[in-house]
Amino acid sequence: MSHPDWKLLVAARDAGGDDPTGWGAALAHMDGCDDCRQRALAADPSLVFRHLPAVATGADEVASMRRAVASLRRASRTLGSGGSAPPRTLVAEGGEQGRRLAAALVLAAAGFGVWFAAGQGEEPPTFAAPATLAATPAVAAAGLPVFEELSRPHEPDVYQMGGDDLTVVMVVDETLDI
Amino acid sequence: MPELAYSASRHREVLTEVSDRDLLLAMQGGDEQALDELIQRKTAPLVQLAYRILGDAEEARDVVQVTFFRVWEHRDRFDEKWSPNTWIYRIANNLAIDHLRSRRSRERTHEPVRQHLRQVADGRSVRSLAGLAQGEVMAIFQELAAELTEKQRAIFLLREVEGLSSQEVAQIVGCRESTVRNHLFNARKLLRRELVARYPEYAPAGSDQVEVNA
Repeated sequence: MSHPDWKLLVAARDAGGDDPTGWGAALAHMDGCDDCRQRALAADPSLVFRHLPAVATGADEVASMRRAVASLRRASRTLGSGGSAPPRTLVAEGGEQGRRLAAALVLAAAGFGVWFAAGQGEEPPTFAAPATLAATPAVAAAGLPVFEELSRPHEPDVYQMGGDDLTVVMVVDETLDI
Repeated sequence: MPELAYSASRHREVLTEVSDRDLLLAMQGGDEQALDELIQRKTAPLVQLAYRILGDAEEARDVVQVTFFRVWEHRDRFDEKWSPNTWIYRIANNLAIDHLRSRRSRERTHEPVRQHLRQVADGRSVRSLAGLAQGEVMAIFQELAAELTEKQRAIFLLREVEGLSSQEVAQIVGCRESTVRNHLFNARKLLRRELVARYPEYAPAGSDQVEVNA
């Protein structure tokens, strides 16, 4: 690309409001051309702010953010000022005791389902996905049964072994202590 | 062999492949891992935006934490027809502006930096804008941007630095595109004028002429 006429471009930009034709290409050219950079800054000194420095983000930035957001949500629930529907998790941030209780409830529910299905001669119970999540194309395409979380961050796995008359559901949770 | 019916780690893998829109829809269904994935994707750009508005990295992080919290709390308000980015940026932008309004120590924060820049500049008759260090650019921007209205500042950053379109910026700040263009023009004009007035040592030859024409 030849060197753009920066005075013309800046004047056109100021007059029209929108970026003139070729503005994007001119900026890209400027980033690699010292002469153009000087001329562009002479035409519009505010262009020096196009490349404001970025914050240095550490490797644990995301993990730290997740923890902070979780704390805010926990505090909101504690204060009862959430303002919107509470998250539909089985475990309500009740700590270790809450997680164990939830896991026990799941096992009990699964056991009841097996008993009920066997007794009624019906199909064994299946896990229903939250309607909205199941409706998302990518999740649906993956063909995964969706199950609400049991206990974060330990993340139990749920296994299902099914038959015509009997379904066994296993919840593998390292934190479970019954 | 038992068949794996649910695995949190597998579910997380699936979420890494879905769009931002689907993440927000999943969150509406109560999926906390979708929130985690959203945090994974958006932390860096949102921290950068908030940092550029506020000029303070820690305050920026605080604002972004509250942004994600608000996104979760108000997830039911997200409408599928909206752009997820626009919706999230709007929340972050509003929070950063609120934070800016509540800050009272702006002059104190930047005065030492300004004095340092002046001392450095005293040693030379002319300095080059192109040769400014990144930290100096940020310090000067924060000082000059204090003269902009909150809306001008947000629009300048979203349009000129983040590179969003006028339409996107209009949706984020909640005004018409023509208003965006107007604010942007005034912001550029003020920044040029103040840059030349306060830091004449950085003023490139010809910038005065541009200012008159603008």
